[in-house]
Amino acid sequence: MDDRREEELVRRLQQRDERAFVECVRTYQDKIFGLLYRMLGSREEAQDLAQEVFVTLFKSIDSFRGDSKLGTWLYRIAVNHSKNRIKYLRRRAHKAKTDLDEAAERAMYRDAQEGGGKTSHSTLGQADARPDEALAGAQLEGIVQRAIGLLDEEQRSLLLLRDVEALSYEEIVEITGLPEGTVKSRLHRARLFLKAEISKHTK
Amino acid sequence: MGRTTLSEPEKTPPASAQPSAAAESPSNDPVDERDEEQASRALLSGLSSVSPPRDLAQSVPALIHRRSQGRFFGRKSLADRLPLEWISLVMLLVLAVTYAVLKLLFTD
Repeated sequence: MDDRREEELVRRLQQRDERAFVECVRTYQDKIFGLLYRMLGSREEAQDLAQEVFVTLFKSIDSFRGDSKLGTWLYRIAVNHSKNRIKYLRRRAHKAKTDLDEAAERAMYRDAQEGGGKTSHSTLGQADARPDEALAGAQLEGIVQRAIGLLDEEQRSLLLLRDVEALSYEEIVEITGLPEGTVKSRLHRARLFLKAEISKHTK
Repeated sequence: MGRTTLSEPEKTPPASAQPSAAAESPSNDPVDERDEEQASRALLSGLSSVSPPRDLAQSVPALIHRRSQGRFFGRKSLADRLPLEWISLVMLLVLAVTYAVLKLLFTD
């Protein structure tokens, strides 16, 4: 969203224009929901938290001064909410199978049943994959998602913000409040861990 | 409730929290850093995209309505919608016009 459109949107939000709220959610929902889903590992949790993130944004919109982009501010709210939710859920010690595990298994089963020639995300960008390749792709996706889930919430958020959302270091510093050097070193550790974890399961 | 995260709280802290000595700090070489980033992005590029719930744009304002009992989007009074200075200027103008009219009516 360009600066002028963003300024206009913020102005309308601060005037409690309900259509502006709907427009704001539609503009940012894909990115925010995607981040929350990867952070929490559950669609249900991500859905619940996505609503809370936007409600928080709207309740505090009067204090938004335009020092950063609206999207960056929204990411900050989303990251903070998701870290808190992870800590809360960890304390409650849930042990049920995650949506991602189930989705990975369903994807594997579905891809195996439907056979080759199907373009699938799970084939890592390869169109017209053979059934065995589709199955391998779905398995790899499950492995990657599980590996992400093994990271602590801070490293997880840094990895997702930089390597999935492709944000700049400047934006990540604004979102997390961490110095750039700290962001880079924690990101480095997260990437090494991810690579090692995935290698363990793919050899 | 069945809500879960990928983290398993009863296990020892994630290995990512206990880096080996070799993994302590990133390389200062920007080329190494770029290569590492590209490799990581390649691994993560296989993740399927996820779509948000279709009704999120409607459910959020509805939630705000419910929690604020309709007050959050409620119609504001004139004093809340217009700057106070404008209202003051308009009132002063009205007073001046009223004074002028009355003066004309009651003087010869």
